[in-house]
Amino acid sequence: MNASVAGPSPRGRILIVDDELVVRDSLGRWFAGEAYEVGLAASGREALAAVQEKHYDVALLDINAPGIDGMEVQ
Amino acid sequence: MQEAPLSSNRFRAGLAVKLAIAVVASFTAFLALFSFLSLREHRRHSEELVLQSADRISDLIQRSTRYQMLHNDREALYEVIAAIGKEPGIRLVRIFNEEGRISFSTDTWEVNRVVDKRAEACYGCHAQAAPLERLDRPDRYRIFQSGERRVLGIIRPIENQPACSNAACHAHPAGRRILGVIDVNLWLDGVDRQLAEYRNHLVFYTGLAAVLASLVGVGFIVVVVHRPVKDLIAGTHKVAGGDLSHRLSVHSRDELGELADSFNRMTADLERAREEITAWARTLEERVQKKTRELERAQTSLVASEKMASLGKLAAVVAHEVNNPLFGILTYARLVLKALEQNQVDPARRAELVDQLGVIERESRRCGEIVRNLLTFARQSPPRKEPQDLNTLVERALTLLHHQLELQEVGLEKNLAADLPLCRCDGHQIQQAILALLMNAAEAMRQGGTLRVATERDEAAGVRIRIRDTGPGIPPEVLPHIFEPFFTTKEDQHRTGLGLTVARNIIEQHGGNLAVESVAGQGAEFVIALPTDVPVGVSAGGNGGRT
Repeated sequence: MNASVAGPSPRGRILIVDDELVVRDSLGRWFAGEAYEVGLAASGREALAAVQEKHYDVALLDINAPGIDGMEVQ
Repeated sequence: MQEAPLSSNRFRAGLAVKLAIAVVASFTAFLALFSFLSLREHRRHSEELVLQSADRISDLIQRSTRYQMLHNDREALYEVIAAIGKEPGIRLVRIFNEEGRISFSTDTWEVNRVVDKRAEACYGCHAQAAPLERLDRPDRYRIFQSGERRVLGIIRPIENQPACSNAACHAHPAGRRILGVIDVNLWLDGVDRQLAEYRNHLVFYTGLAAVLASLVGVGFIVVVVHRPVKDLIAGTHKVAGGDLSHRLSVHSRDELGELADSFNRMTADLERAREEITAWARTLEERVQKKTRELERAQTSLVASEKMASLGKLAAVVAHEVNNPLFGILTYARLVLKALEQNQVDPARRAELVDQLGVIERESRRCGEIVRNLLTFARQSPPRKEPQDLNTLVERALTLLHHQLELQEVGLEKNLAADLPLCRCDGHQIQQAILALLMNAAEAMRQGGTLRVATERDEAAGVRIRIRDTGPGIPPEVLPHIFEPFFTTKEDQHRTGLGLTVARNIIEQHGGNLAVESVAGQGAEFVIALPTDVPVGVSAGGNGGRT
């Protein structure tokens, strides 16, 4: 579930973590449109896996997420 | 109540009769003794009078005959004696000489007969071998029976005197002391008649006095003893029967009056005590009623605040639920807007925009769905029975709880029967009951678990909805209380413990039954049983407890 949208010259990498698909997708598209390289994760566990795989400049975390919540992922 | 008056009657009669018998008997005995003594005294007195007169007569005869005797004029002597003997009341006058020969008698056939010295007239002197020469008067008289009549006889010895021995006839030698005896017999008829009359009078007056005294005594007993005791006993029976307002009307100043006064005081105390107790009981009842009303008011307000609390909680859940799709809608709307502003509507871009608008449409529907469910829950419309598909109601309730379950990492297993019959019920209320049970199950699984929701058809009961959690279960000692109002084991202090109570009330108002089974450590299962065809009236009646 590691969809990444890469622009021609990425301004930076953002990891978006949210259990809601519509939130995740819409945010992903928005930041992709702003020429960021976007990573998506549906849960804290996925986010940790994504961080280990790639370097992200910023991670947007839903604080109130099932499983490992946003604060724990930090 | 039949025995007591009888026995008391017997007692009263006994007491009064005993007293009356004692009074009458003692009056009669004393009066009889008095009359007996009086009669005896009277007889003695009368006989004494007769004796005196007999003595005087014999004295008179002796003196009257002195002269004739001195002259030895026997004919004149007998003449005088015969004259005296004819006096009324005199039975006989006779003279014995010293040998016991009757020298003269007014009863002529006796003359010249010799009397036995042991005969009753002679016995006074001749009891001993040597005759007495002097006799006192009581020994000289005797009373004897002559046929039917009583006779008093008195003897008078004629003593030798110098004149007799010196007389010319010289009939009597000087050595002799007693010359003869005058015996006078008097009839006692008059005395006896008088005595009989006196005795009759005495008996009559004594009897009259005894009767009058007895009447007065008995009347006194009736007034002083019998009536007060009767009143006393009747009054005590009334009071003993519970009539504490009754007062004894005995006003005498004796022991009975004192007893009545004490009894009246006691009765008054009892009455006062009973009134106090009654008043206390009334006060207590009023207080209980007042407290009950206060409790009812408190319960009503608690139920209202519980409704508000659960609504507020639901609002929070719903707000979170609505927030996500709204965020998506907002973001996609801005993306579409930005694309349109930048005029990037080439065919490839266009497909993307259509896709994004589709997302907006879908998420908007989702929001609408959530809001509709919220309205379903919140609307306080009067119960309206309509054919309802319970599966739909379950789905709606689950939708409202969807996010909560996800947050708690609670897995959901749905097993809804496809051939479920429609159920006539108020959809809003049943959904509220299902939601309360789902929330209860979710709260039992804060550390995650599996929520199993199943609907099934039951030929006997109609329709069943099973809601099963894998929480810690309900301890056996808690199980009987979980449907009681305000009972909660939850640590959340904001809950009042009415959720399950409201759920059970709703189910029972629909003629159904809510049961629970739980094994400690293995979770709990709530089973809603609802009849598919609810008879008219049971639902409206409110508390149809079909169990």
